[in-house]
Amino acid sequence: MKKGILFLVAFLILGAVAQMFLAWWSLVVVAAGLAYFFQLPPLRAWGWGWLGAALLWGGLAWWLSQKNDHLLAQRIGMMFGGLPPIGLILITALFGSIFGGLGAVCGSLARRMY
Amino acid sequence: MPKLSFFVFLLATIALVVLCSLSQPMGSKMPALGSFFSPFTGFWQNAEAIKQVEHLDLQMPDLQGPVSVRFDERLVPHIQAENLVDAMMAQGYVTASLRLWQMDMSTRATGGRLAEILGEDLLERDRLQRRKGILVTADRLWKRWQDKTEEKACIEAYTKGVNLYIQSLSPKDYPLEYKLMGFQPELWSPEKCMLFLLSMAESLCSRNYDIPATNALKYFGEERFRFLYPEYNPKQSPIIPTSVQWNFDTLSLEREPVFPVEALSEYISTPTLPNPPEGIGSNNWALSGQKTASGYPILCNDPHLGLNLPSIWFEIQIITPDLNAYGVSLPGLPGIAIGFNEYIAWGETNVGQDVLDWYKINWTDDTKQLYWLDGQAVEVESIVEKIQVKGKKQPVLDTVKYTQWGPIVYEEASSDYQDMAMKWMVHQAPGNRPFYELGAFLRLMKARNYDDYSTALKGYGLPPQNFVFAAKDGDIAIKVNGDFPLKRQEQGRFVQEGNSSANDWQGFIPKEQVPQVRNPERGFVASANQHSTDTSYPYYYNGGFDDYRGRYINQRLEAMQSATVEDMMALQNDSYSLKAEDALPLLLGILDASVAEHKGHPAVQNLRTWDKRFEGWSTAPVLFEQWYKEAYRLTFDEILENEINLLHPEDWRFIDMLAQTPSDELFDIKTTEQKEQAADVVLLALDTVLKQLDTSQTWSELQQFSVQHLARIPGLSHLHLPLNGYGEAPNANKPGHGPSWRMIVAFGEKNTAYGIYPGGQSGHPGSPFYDNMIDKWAAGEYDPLQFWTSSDFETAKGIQTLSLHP
Repeated sequence: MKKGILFLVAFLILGAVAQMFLAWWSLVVVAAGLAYFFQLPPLRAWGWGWLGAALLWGGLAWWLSQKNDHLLAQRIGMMFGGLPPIGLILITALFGSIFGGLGAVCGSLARRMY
Repeated sequence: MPKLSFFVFLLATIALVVLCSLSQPMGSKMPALGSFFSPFTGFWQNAEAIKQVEHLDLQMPDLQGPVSVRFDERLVPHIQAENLVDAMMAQGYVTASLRLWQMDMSTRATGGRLAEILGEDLLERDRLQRRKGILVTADRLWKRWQDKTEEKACIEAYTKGVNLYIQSLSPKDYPLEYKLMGFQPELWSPEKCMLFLLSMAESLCSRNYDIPATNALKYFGEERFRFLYPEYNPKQSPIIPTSVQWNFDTLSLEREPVFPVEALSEYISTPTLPNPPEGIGSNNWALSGQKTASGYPILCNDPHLGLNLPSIWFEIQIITPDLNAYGVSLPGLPGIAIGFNEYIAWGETNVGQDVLDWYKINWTDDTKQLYWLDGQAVEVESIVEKIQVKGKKQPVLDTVKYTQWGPIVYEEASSDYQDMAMKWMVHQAPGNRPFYELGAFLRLMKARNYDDYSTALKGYGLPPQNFVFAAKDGDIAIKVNGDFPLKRQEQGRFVQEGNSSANDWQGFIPKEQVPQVRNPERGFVASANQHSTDTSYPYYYNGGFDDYRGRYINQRLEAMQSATVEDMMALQNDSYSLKAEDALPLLLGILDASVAEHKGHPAVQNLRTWDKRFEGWSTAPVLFEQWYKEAYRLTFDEILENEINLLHPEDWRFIDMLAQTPSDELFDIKTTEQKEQAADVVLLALDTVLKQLDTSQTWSELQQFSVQHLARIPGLSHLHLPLNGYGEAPNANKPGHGPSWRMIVAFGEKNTAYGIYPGGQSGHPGSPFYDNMIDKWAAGEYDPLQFWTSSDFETAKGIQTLSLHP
C-alpha cells in the first residue's frame, strides 16, 4: 500500500510535468518507469497506474471544464450522441487509465524479467 | 514466462498507442484520439475560462508605438493606435486570435488547397478553383498592389499581426477545428489577403447564365426566347429613381448586337460554372432628414450571405489620430467594410451585373495548343497547377490553358465538351487607379462628407457594390460602383465566338458615369439587388436582379414619414413578400373559377386569410410555397426535365404568364395526353400538394433554418431555428442564407447605432462568445453599438484590455 501511494504521488507529479512538454503517450512511459522503479507487482501496478491516470486526465478535464461552465464539453458531447459533460469527463478519465494501467504493467513485468 | 508476458503487454501497449495517434484512423473521420482526449493537449485545452484575465501585456517588436485594445462586453475590440499601420497590425493579431481557423479555411477553400488537408475527396473541388485561375490571380493582384504604398503597408502589417499570433501558439493552443480535422495552421501572407478578396468576388460576381441562355435561344427560337426571358420587368423599381437624367457624354461604341456563337450546330454540353447559391443579396437604404423624426439622416444595411459559424463578419472599432470608425470587418482583410464614423455612414449591397462571359475556342487542330483569333493561330499559355493531396507524396499536376480571353475551365479528354474560355472581370488587372479596394475602405473610414465618399469609391473595383451613404450634415447618396465592362447590346448574355477580338468587351464604364444619385427629391436612396437603372441608362448591362424586395422596400420608404430607428428595425425584419401578393390572387382566382373540390379545404381557407408574411410559426406560407413551386415545375417541365441545360424563366415572368397568356403552350404538360392550360396546371399542382401536405407544419419547420458550422461539424451548429423570412422579402432568410449583419446608424446631436449578426465575436466553440448573438438576432433584436471616442477609452466598461508594446 505504501509503495502504491508513493507511486501514485510520483505519477501525478511526473506524469503532469511530462505531459505538459511531451506527447500524450509520455503518460505510458512515466507509468512504466515508475512501476519499474517502485517494483510494484503486475496487478497492483495495473491498479495504481489506472487510478493515477484517471485522476490526472479526469481531474484536469474536470478542472478545465468547470472554469468553462462546461460549455465546450456540451458541444463535444453532441458529437458523441448527446453525452453530458460528466460523461465526457469520465470517458476521458477512462481513456487515460487504460494507458496508465497498461504502462504500469509493462514496467512491472520488465522488472520481473531480472 | 515473465518474458513472454512482458512482450505481449509491451506489444499491446505500443499497438494501442499507435492506433490512438493516427489521424482519421482506418478511413474514419475521427481525429487522433490520444492527443484529442488528453486534457494536456486536446480539446479540453480549448475550454476557455469564462472569467477572462482583465489585462494582458504583449510585445510586438514591429510596432512603431504602443497600441491599446479594449474588448467591450460583447467582445468587440476597440483598437487605439498612434498610426494606421500599427492599428492594422493589431487588427491582424486580434482577428487571428479569435478567427484563425476560419481565415485559414476560407482562403484554402478559395485557392483550391483543401485536398492538402482533407484528402482526395476534395481534389475535384480544388481543381475547379485552380482552373478558374484564382490562385494565379491572387499572386498577380498582390504584385499589382506593390505600387500603392499605404495599402501595401497595411496588408503587410496585418499579415505580421496574424503571424505573431500564429507563432505564439503551441499545438495544444490550436483552435479546436485543427485538432478535430488533424492539420496545423500555416503562416499568413499578403497573398492570402488577396485570396480573401477574391473569395468575396467569387461569391458576389461570378454569376453566369451564358450557356443555358444560348441553349434556350436555339431551343425556343428568337421570338419565343424573348417572350420567355425578357431582361426587364416593367414593374421593376430600379435603384436609381427614374427621374434621374444621364447628363454625361456617352462613350461611342459599337451598338450592333453581338449574336451568339454562329453556326451553333449543337447544344452546349459543357457544364455551367456553379453559380453562387441563390439568396446571396442584400438590402441597404438611407433616409434624408426630411423623412426622419429626428431631422437627421438614418442609414441601414443588411447584407444577405451564407450564415455560418464562425460568422463572416467581425465587429471592430479602429481609432487613430486621423480616423475613428466602427463597423464590421471581414476576417482576412484589414479595415472596415461596412460601418460609420462621427460624420458619415456607409454600407453595401451586391450588384447583379454580369461580369463573367464565355467565349468558344476554335482550335487549329486536335493537339489543342493553337486557336484561331482574327485569322491568326495563337498559342495558349499553359500554367501547371500543383495540387498537394493528403497522404500522397507527389502533387497532382493539372495543366490549365489560358487564352486571350481567360482560362479554359472545363477540358476533359473523354468528354464532348465544347472548349470555352472564361472571361471574368476578376482576372483583369485593376485599371489605372489612384488606390485599390482597401484604399477605398480606408478613405470611407475617415470620410467626413459626400466628396470624401465620392473620392473613396474611385479606387474601388471588385466585387461591384451599391454603396449607400449618409452624412450627419444631411447628404444621402447611392452609387452603383465598381468595374463594369462596356458591352454591346446583349453582349455576354450568350456564349460568344472566341475567334474575333471584335467580340471583346469594349473597355469599362467610366467611374463618373456609373449609375448614381445624391439627395433625390423623394428623400431616400435604397437598393436590394434590383436593376441599377431603368432602360434609359445609356450602357447595356445584363445579369440577375431582384424583382420583389427592391420594389417593396421602395414602396415602404416612399410611404414613410417621421421615421424612427424602430421603423427601420421593423423594415429590416419585415417578412412580407410582393411575390406572394402578385401570385396568390392569381392562384386562388383560378381555383375559385373552377369546379375543383379544394375550395373549402381548411388549408386553402387558411391561405385566403394569410397576410403574405412569411412568419416562422405560420402554416399558410408552406402551402403557398409548395403550390407555387409545383405549378412552376409543371409549367416548365420541358425546361426543367430536359437533358439540355436550359435557362429557367424568372418568377415574375411566370406570374405574368399566369395572368396574361394562360393558354400558352408551355402550360401543356408533356407527359399527359390532353392539352393543359394555366388553370389545369394550377389545379393539378394544388391537388398534388394537398395530397401530401402536413397541415400542421410551420414555415420554419419546412425551411429548416439553421446557422451551421463552416465544416458542418455536428454539435457546433445551430439547427432548426424558429426564424421568419423569405428570399423575396426584406427579411431575406433562406435555409443557410440570410441577413448576416443588420446595422442601423441614426445621426443626431448624439449619433446612435445598432447592429447584430447571427454568431458571436469568437470563432472558438469553447467560448461563450461563439454564438451568443444568435437568439437575439433570430428574435429580430439589436445590440446598441458602442462607438468610443479616445477619451471614452479609460472610462468605458470593458472585459479585457490588451496592451501591445513595441
